[in-house]
Amino acid sequence: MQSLQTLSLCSYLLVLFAGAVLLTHPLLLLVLLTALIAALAEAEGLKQWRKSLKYFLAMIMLVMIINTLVNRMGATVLFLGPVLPFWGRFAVTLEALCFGLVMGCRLLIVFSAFMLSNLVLNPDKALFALAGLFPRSAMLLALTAKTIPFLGQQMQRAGEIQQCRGVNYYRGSFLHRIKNKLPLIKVLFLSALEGSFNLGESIQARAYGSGARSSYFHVSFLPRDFLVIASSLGAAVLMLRLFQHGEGSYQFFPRMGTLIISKGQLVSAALMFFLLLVPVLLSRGWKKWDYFKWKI
Amino acid sequence: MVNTQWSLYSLIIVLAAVGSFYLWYERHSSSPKEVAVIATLAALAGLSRIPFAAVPGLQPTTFLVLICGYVFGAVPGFMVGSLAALTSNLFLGQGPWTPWQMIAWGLAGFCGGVIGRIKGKKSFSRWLLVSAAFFWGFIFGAILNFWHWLTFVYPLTLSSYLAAMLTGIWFDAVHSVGNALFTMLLGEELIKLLSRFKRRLTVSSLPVERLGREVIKENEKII
Repeated sequence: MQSLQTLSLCSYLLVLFAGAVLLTHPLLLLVLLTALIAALAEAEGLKQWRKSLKYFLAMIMLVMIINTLVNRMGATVLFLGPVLPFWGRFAVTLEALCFGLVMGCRLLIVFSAFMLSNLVLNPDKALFALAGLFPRSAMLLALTAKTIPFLGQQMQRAGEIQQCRGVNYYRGSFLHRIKNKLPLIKVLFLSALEGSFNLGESIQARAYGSGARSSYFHVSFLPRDFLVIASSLGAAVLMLRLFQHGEGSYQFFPRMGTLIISKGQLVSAALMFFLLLVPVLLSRGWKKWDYFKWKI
Repeated sequence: MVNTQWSLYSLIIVLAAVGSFYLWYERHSSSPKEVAVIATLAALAGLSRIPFAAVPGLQPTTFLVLICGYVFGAVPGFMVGSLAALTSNLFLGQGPWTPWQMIAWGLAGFCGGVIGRIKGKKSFSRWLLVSAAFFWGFIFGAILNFWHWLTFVYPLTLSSYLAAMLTGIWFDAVHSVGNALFTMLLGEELIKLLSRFKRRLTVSSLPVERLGREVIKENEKII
């Protein structure tokens, strides 16, 4: 999947993200989540995803708790608590609980989509794509990204020098430790800003601002990129259709509605699943079948 | 049926706001040194999230961005704040929070620029900046919770928003107190330091024919 161009990857990721934002139907969210897990497995990120799941679950629990506490629109009361000051009667309903669970699922899809983007998007290629739209901002972004690790090293060095002089960052009260770290910020500021003038002169010497940007990468769109863009567009159209016809959302309140509203909804969900699996299938074919790799 | 449009609209508005600032910056001509200084300040603001990472919520980024806006102006302040969020997340991990962090820190820088414009550089008001830094801790939390509330909580009422805010109030309070402390302890010195670099960046050009007259006038003023 990493071999795809930034535009094709972005269109795929954007559709997954838009799906999590637009749709609230449990079946459609399950389709999105399954496609995402397959994509994560293909990008060799399933192990990392499983590791992060415990952090995701904590946030999902929080979403569930908030929704259960604040939502009083459900009709099936599971637990009726006392009347609380400023709050009214405390009640837990089945509908609010299920709604919280589905919202948690949406949150998981959003997190997983970003995790996939971190795995498959090459920052250099993404920056190059951005440079086409915002050349100055892309230059600024590249300079900032380059400066952070350099300044990190400088800060570590300055910290070690201070420790040699007897400053201890790990002992004493919390305030004392924070106070010990403050001079580091001043030192870093001074040296970094002095360095920035040299950096400015250096980019000027390399003809920054004297004309149009030259390009380092040669972008060539291959059939697989067109296939991914087309499948993503198809999935986006299906999502919009479902959203417009009210089939993208599920009735939670006051009582939960039927899961499948129409046959069309089921067909759209199946088609959407297939379209979202296209990049995964292409990647698998690319890895396993030389002829296919050559063709796409 | 649950409304999901607000979540999408809010995201579109935030992305359009960030995009319009970047578009403005694209059209605004800046010297290579200005570019390098903004990039360095953004890197410093982004990097400052790391040394205090052990304490959730405590991060000098908001204070640094506010000070940068105060000295360099509203738009460079916005650029420093939004870039700090975007680039530090390249290392810490991008997520749905990135555009909201970009707008929140960007607006903190913009607010610093507005304060600088209103107060003027000579009448430095420590308490105004300290209180602005303190409130930005809570405003930052409120902005970040906003999308979370719009997307994952229903119904969208004041009480549900307050409940969503309450889940992170401790981190917001630490953030606010930290900002105020950083501004009290380091604010004045950093403003002096940044102002010196800003003066070094300022270049004014004079036509050759006016040069003689201007130099004579300057000399007369000094005498």
